[in-house]
Amino acid sequence: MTAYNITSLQNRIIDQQASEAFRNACISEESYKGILKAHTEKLYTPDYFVRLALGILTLVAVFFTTALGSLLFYGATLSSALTILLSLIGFTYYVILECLIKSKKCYNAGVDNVLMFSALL
Amino acid sequence: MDKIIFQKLLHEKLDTPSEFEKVVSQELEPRSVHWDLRTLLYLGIVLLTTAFGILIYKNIESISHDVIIITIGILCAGCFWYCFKNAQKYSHKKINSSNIWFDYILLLGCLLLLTFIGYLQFEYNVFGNKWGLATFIPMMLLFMAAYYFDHLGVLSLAIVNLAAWVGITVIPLQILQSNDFGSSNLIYSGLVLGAFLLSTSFASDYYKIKRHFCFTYKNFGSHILLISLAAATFNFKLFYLLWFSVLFTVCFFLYRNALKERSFYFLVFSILYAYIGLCYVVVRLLFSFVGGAVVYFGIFYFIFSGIGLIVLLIHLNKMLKSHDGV
Repeated sequence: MTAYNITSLQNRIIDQQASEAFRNACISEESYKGILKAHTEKLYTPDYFVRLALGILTLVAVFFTTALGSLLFYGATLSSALTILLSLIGFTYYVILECLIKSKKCYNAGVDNVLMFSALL
Repeated sequence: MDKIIFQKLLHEKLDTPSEFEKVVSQELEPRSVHWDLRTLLYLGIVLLTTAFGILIYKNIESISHDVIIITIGILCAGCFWYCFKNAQKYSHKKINSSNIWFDYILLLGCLLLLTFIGYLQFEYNVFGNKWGLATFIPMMLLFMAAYYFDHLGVLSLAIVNLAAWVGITVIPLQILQSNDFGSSNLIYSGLVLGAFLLSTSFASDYYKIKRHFCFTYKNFGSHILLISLAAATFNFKLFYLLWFSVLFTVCFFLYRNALKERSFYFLVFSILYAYIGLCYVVVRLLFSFVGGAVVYFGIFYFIFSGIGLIVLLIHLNKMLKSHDGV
């Protein structure tokens, strides 16, 4: 199961290569625009500072969501309560990540990176 | 550049055979190491001055102070002599260096100048008890050098010295540890300094005097001002709402300016500083209530405010990007 659209990822690589070729004056502007038009990709990858800010804010939301989940399970007598809690939370983050990728097409946007690691952890 | 991708594009008739040949030949051309060399040169200057300091420190008993001070003085004078000899005529606009060594020798000269004056004060007490003078004089000299020789690195050194003269450490990794933001004197000093640097940035831009210095002034000024305002909000318990409103106003002003200049950097941190202040005010207000529900309100506030800001930043980023052309 792949989260990201393979065609979009391939088109991104092609667009990046075309940008480099255009910057080095290897292809004309007409060819460059033609390549971009034929290989459109709608992946959302913001600037480095925005990525950092989005990552920090996602970390805040993830931290407090985990805290809320811990509060809800506080006082549970089951020995495996912690395992169940963390599994549920991890699964929730995974579902949110999938929805974000499908709807907002986030790719290395900070939000998806933090959610991915949170789900793994 | 990947030859296979361009072969595919050639097959799809999206580029021409001559363009494909250019891409292939580009891959065989030598790569520029200009920026690698420049980085190594800057690193070299910093390591040289550090090594100099360590050498003096370790051999302080065997080398006389007079010899050390004369050596540093001669080296510093030599660097400035070279810079004056090779400097371009002063202009309000950006001046390019006359050769590749100029910037590095100027930086070395300025670092040695700071060492020279600091050593004079420490060993010979030249300025007596007037410690302010020991930072004021190098600061003025650095500002003059930055403007006359048009060097952003020296300008940054000058601003750091200005902050030191005011009593604040503005080195990025130490700004929160080395300053005692519990002291109201330091907070007020930071506010004045931050406002002064920001005003200098806008004045430079308005009067078109070294406009390329604007970013450096604005960067230092905004961070110092916003950190001081945040510290004022946290420390002045009686009027924290008033300080928060000032913080919010300054953040809003920087936000509008960032949108106008299309600067993601200032946009992001103006929003983050305002968010930090808002979080503090909300938590403080929640603590004034009693009850278990307060904790849940707090948690829900952080979750939803975090999500709200994420949506806002994504929207602003897309809005700014949509105006960019090819």
